[in-house]
Amino acid sequence: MNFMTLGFVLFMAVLLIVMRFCKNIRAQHIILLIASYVFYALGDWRFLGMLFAISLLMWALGRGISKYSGTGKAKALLAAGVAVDLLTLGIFKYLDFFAENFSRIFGMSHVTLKIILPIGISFYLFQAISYLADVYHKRVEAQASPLKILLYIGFFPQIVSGPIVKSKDFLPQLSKAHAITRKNLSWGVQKFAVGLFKKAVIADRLAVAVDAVFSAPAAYDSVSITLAVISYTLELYCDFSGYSDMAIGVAKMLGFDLGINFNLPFLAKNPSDFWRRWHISLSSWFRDYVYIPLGGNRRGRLRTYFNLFVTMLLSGIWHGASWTFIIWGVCWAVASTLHKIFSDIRKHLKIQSKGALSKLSGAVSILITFAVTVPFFVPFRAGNLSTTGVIFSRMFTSPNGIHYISVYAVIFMVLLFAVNLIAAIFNKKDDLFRPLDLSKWRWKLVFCLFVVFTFCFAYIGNTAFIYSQF
Amino acid sequence: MKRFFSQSLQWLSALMLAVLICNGVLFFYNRPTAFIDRTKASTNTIFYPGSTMLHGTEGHGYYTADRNGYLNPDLPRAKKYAVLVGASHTQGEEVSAGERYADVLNSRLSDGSSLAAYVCAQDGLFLPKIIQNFRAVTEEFRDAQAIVIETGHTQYSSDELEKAMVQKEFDEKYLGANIAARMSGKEKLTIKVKEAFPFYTIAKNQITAYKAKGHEQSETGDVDIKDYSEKMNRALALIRSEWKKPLIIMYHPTVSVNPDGTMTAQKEKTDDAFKKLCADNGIDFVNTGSVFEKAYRENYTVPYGFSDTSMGAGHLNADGHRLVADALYGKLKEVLAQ
Repeated sequence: MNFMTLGFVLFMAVLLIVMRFCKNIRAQHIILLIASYVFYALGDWRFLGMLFAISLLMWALGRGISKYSGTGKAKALLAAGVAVDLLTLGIFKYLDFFAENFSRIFGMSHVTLKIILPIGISFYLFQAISYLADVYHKRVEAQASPLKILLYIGFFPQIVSGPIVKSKDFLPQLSKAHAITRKNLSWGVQKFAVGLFKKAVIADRLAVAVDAVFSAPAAYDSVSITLAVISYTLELYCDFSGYSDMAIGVAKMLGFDLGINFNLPFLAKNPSDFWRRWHISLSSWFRDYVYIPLGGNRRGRLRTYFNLFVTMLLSGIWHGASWTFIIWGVCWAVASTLHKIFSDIRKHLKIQSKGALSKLSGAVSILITFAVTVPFFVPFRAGNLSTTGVIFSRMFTSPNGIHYISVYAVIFMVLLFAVNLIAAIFNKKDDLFRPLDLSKWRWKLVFCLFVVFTFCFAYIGNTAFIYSQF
Repeated sequence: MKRFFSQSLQWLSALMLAVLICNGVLFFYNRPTAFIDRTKASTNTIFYPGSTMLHGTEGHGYYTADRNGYLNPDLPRAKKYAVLVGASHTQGEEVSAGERYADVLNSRLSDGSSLAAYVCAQDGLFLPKIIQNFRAVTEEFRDAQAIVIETGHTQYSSDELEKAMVQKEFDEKYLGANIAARMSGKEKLTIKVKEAFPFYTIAKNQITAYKAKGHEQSETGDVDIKDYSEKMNRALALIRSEWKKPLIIMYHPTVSVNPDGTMTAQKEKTDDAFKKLCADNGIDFVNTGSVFEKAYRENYTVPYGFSDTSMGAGHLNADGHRLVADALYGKLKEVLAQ
């Protein structure tokens, strides 16, 4: 089941009605857990057992870590739990890749294991690790009842494609009853509608143009390819942030806060700023559970650069088992490290711009960061090194080819540019979403207009969320 | 209770006004016109004569239906003219007036005061249905010098070809002008309301597309060439027997833009058999595939696709229409000069 189906609307309607009349906390958790497992099973029932088993194991390990807190056993249990999670992820996500490349390197006959990737595995295993680490570091208490851990790891709004919510942010929300309030419903429905617009109107329409060019880049001229590459960046942003908005909106309707996952990433001034605005839940997870445990910036400059490089590289690899994702990770690792080095030099030399020069340098930084970000997404989309090479070679030369300027790409670029400009000037570069007061008729009209336009202009085609493949 | 009722009323009125506003916007984006069903005639539907339509979901076109309910300029037919029978590609809503292959042919074949190429087309009027309606076409256009049949495929199922053999009769009362004259005030009002409410058509299309998602038709499977040849031969022989004057079948295959940068016209399993059957039955066969490929090699012209969709798929664009006109021009000039 995905969010953009009538079946899901029915599912949510029933769930909200049931939750509305259920005041007991434990009963609410049971209902939400059942709903989450039904949601997951409707997507792919085959791995429901694994989700359940992993969640139960994490609960048990959490209890053990808490019991042996301060001793070597706690650390061993943490390591064991993380190892199980990473091994599970490794088997399902990376084993095929390793087997294929191993057989290629050693000239063996091609081995393809055809392992099916369980839905949401990259997301919920990271939440599982988050729980164990937070218990170990005493950021959360080990839960006495497995119910809360089952719900935390399997919570349906974010299980398929995130946001990755840390246990210290989610578990406290389970200690109080969740009322279905008008305010949460209003906020949640509007957030969902914005996400739906981004996904169905913008991302899916851009995908038509992007797919055409990326499937045969050798046929298109450099202008068409450049436009397709920029369009893909926008498509990915609208697809993923659209999904995140829908997930956050659904959770809010149920009274849960999943945080923010995107904050106008195209206003980023540098690679670090970009990752504080793009897929925030993932980057903050890597910061808290990889970068900081490696030592962060507390072990000298060279070690900081190394930690940053490794963190960004792993972040790239998380996205998928392919050389293109590894390259993507390396690109970001290099960019982030170079920026860190550059920042340190600036700090050391006390170089600082002020006033109008500061604003100008800020604007230039945003443009440069965008110009660097866009090509980084080429291997992400191209799927293989050969296509990546063709795209780059044709982007920067001027070969002849099909001249294809997608009118929707131009329209949406202008729209997103306007939104970012308004946010930059009037909202301190922060997300512009402000829920309307739907108790007033005029805002009801605005909301209805938004929904009706989304319905009319939605591209009803392939609605598979890009990030659900991770 | 009072608050609930008041809020519900507010939501309903807001929704209605939103739909009206959206409808207004759609007037400038996509405004199809209502069509009228009919039985004993060349096509199974026609547009309401005099109605206008704006097409914007794929390409862009603005047209007015003529007195017969087809999409032709408001000009009389020439003394010697060819009737172009086909589906949406011949209708050509996706391109501007003047860019359709019918219009390009008219600009070359006539002096501008009459139509040398007359469009008789309808969405979904594929070859089997054209064959089924062929007797009616010959009756409606008995004064035409030639009939050109447009098709985007040569492969059709046995069932379709069998059904095509049952010919529809022609009745003058089903001519567009006659249907319009007989329509009641209520029927005319229904059409006007549908035309004024493009939101209804867009909503219907979105719902249809949503229901069809996941049930996309797969490629046509294996074909028994022997069985196909036998049935298609019967069908072509039938239409040949019903029309003694020049008969041309114009086949515009789909194309594929390939990863290596080339573009190839797709070949169906039945193409060779179909070509031979046309020759056997004295039907001129024009395959625009090689014309498409040549134009691509010369300057990367792609005959299908638009800037609001993607290249290489969908309907004929202005370049595609021009290439089709180029392919037909020589033959039609010769036929109309006889």
